[in-house]
Amino acid sequence: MARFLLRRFISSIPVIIGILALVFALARMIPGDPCRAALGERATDEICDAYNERYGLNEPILVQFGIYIKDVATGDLGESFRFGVPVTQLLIERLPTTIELAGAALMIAVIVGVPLGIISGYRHNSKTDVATMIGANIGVAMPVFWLGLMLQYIFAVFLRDTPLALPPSGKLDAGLIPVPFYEAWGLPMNGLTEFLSEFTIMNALVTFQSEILSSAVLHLILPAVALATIPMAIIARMTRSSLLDVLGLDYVRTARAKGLRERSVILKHALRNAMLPVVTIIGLSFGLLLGGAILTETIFNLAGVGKTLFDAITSRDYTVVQGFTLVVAISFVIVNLVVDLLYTYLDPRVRVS
Amino acid sequence: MTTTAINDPVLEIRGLETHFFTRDGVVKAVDGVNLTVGKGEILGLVGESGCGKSVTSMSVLRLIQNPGEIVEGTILFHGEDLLGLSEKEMRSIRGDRISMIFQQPVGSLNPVFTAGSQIAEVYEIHESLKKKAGNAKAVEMLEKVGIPDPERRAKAYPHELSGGMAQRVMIAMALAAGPELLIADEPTTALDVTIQAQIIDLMREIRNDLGTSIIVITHDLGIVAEIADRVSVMYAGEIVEEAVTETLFAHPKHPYTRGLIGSIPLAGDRREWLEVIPGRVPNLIDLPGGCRFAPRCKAREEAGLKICTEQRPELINIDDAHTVRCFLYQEGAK
Repeated sequence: MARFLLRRFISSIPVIIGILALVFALARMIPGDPCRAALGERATDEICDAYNERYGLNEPILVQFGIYIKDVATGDLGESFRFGVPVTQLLIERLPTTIELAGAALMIAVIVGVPLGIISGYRHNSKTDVATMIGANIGVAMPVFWLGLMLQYIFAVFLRDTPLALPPSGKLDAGLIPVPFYEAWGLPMNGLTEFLSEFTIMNALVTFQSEILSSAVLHLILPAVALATIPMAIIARMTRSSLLDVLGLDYVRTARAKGLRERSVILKHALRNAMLPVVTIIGLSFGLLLGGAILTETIFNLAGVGKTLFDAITSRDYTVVQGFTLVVAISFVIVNLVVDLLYTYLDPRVRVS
Repeated sequence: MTTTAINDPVLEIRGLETHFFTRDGVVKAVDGVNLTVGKGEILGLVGESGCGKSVTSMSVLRLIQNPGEIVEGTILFHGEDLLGLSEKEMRSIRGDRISMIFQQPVGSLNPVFTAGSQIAEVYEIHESLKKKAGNAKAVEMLEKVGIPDPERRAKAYPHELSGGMAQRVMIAMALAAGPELLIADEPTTALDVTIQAQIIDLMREIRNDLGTSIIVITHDLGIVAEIADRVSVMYAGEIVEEAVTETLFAHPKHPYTRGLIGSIPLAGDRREWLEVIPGRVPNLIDLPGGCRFAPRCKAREEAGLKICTEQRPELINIDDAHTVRCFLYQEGAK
């Protein structure tokens, strides 16, 4: 198992280097001048020369790339042109928001999508099945930004002043400031503790800040639902078709002939096999979630990776674009590594002897 | 009815009709089948693919899936009609008192569970044993069906087993709860010839040692000759001939049975041509009005019988324990 892990890990290194090169090139292909984007249209040539000198932007492109690779390898992702703070600091502050959002969305997508898929696969061609599949097709086709706006309209405008009202934007109610757990526990503040304390819900849970906790959860519902819709629809469809395939196989007949109750036949014998392709899809949906996070965070005004990346692209903040894209790509690689491991757990046929 | 009296019948199927309601029409896969299996008897059920053998066996376990349905008949198991039982009562019979093995042994085992745990499951369902006790009994069972190193094999996954080994695992699973009836649906078709012989020997031992009644469903008359005490020949959803194995091979009566026996290639026998039965199995949606074999029957033409295309023949007794569904043997048929 350790060897398998190591091999999978090593094989993802070229992928990451490829991503680095691509992102580096793409960021420099965005038309416009980073100096004037950061300092304004009226910056003089002298100021811009100094600016380019300071950030190494006057070096040949290959040299810039070489410097970048060396810096990344030493954990230095550069400094944001726009904010003047290290990119790692921005990541510490904003990555947890996105992880919470994507995690909640993935949970909703799996918890709702898989059972829906099972029901419509088992009650194949029934009214429930048809309704679920129509819903799933609409879900796949619905643009995230439109759904987000509709949810905001329904829950924050139309249902305002009812118990069903939900906050349409931000992470917490105005005026609430969470106490980071390291302060509550008397731990020193460093990169790691600061990073962990930015997980608002987890932080509120471990320090028993109930008001913050409920506010954070309520604020998370709408963006998480908006973000979850597409992967949920994909997961439901995949579960359905995969279960349908499996239900026709010989070993399902054997399970029935043994005298197993239908529920065990489906949930034990069929589902474990049917979940194999679904797990792959769940891993791939993670990429979809990160892409969707850009739109969701922008609409719901959450200062996460997506929104930061969006702002960085529009203001040509190269280092932020590079740093954040790198982190997103690496997390994608990690998630798919986890999927591979899950696969070897679920399916003995892919286990390495 | 004309089926021979069998002492101490374990299973009696009377007038079974299982139809499939498809978009193209009603497929009469099983259309009035009568079968009886005695205690400790091995019955061979023979016929071409699509003649309704497997549907008959799945009907016994009441495992016919949509759009199929048992529309008529009784299936008496020790005198009790299985078709009248609740689903829960039926579950307690499946895998416990009547069990089944299938054609594709590797595909019939769940790929994500070990062989041992799949056998142990039978004990968990029917004898309420805990996992550990079930696993221990599974290893015993594997040893009984002649698997070497049963403890290691119990931990193997289906893809790590050969076809013959997997069929032994299936047999171990089927026998785990000590069933009174074992239905083997093409148990050797997917296996090498040498392995086939081993599996046939194993089934014969099971009958001799445990007194289990066995229905062997096959298209292979060679296997029937090897193992069965009695043979029922099925054609297009009905039984066309039934006799004790020796009688059937020595004096086949129905033209279809004679055709089947004539088309067996014999080792060492070099013939220019094997005899073939002309034509194809009829479409089970649109069956011929008279005898279902009439369109392919040469004997009918030779005898100049007209009734064959007009009226459905009944099973008639020719001899003690030998019945046939054919007008050739009916006195006064024209």
